[in-house]
Amino acid sequence: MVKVEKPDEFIDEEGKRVDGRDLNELRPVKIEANVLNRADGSCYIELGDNKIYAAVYGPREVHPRHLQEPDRAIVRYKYSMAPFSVSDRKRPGPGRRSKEISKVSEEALESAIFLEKYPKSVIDVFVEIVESAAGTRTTSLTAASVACADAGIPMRDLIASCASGKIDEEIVLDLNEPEDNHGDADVPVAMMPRTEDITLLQMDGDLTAEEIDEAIDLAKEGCKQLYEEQKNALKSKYGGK
Amino acid sequence: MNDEKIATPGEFLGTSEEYGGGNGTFERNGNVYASITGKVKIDSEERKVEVEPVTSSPPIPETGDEVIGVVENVKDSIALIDIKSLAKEKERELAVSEMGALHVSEVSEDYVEKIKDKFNVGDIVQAKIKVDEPNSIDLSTKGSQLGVISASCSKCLGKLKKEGNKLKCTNCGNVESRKVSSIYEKEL
Ligand SMILES: [Zn+2]
Repeated sequence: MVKVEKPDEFIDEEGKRVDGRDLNELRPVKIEANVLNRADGSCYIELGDNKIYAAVYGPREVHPRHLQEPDRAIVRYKYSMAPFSVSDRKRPGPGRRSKEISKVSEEALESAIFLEKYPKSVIDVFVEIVESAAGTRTTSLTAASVACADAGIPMRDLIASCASGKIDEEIVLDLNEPEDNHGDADVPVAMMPRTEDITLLQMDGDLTAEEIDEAIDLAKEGCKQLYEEQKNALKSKYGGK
Repeated sequence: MNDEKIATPGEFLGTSEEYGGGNGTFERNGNVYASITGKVKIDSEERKVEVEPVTSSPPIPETGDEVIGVVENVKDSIALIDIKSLAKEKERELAVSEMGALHVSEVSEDYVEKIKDKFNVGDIVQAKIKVDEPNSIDLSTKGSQLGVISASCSKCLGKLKKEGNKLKCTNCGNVESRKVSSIYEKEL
């Protein structure tokens, strides 16, 4: 796991970050589709030291039935951390944080899926964080969207998601753990890259209006890069170009 | 039809002027896009583009499909069967389970007087869809592979084992009559 002490400086004279990245550079990413046999669709993602599985079941019958929507499917997103995945200090448990993450992730996925094709049903998404190293909510959503596509669920687009943030007065892409813990701001973004419609936008920290625009633009660039990896994961799994 | 390009959801396939969008596509602002991951099939004569899924897909039961369901209700001449999945893809549930009706005349090639002699509530059945219309699915269990594929004893809920054309309880020895499928307890 990445060391979480606050470094003396986040950006060196050459403009490199503590892990050697440029300001606008994502951590190394690896995405694989269809990794779990039992699920209807699944995905494994690594982003830096994050290791996350997403499994999708459905559309299938809703239990309890009062949750049914007569004219569309609903998405249920369950976000859980393996007990050994985070340091004790940050362990969220099944509390408010994971509930909030589930809610915004459900909304993001629902905006991409043709829900009206499957009235009264539910699409269950289970995300399991095996290792957590900053940016888990966005990375999970990126994986969940590939898992939905892997389940053959019709969608307007994939959803790509990453965060930007502010460290040492600079807007940077994809915060790592020390940057996330000690930085000045964190801006998770999710979007449908084809139309650039933003489906999730949150803000934590102090940013000027200009910095917000810059942070969103940078996160969108990151999403576009992740989108290429998502498409490659699906195409390479199913033998296409 | 020679192009084996694979598209992913949201991928641009052409303009609506070039192609009409078929299965696995959607149209937006004069363009056709893929909605699923699959092979891009272009029919130049019909000026139509489709995406044929390469992933597993949410199952949609159609006429001729064999399905698996649970007997919900047995009346004089009809059994109501809650359809849960397609037989060829058991692992994947239907988006919404649908009720199918099995008429006594469709139980078997042989004459059956009362459907309750051949089915019991709770039996798991493999059946074929004869008619598929909105809110009305008619089923048939004619054919050796169709019929009850798993059942429990009506007296003690013990496991029923196949013995010839009958089922015998492994617990209390009770013998019950069913339209037994040739694959009874074989694939479950
Ligand atoms: Zn018995």
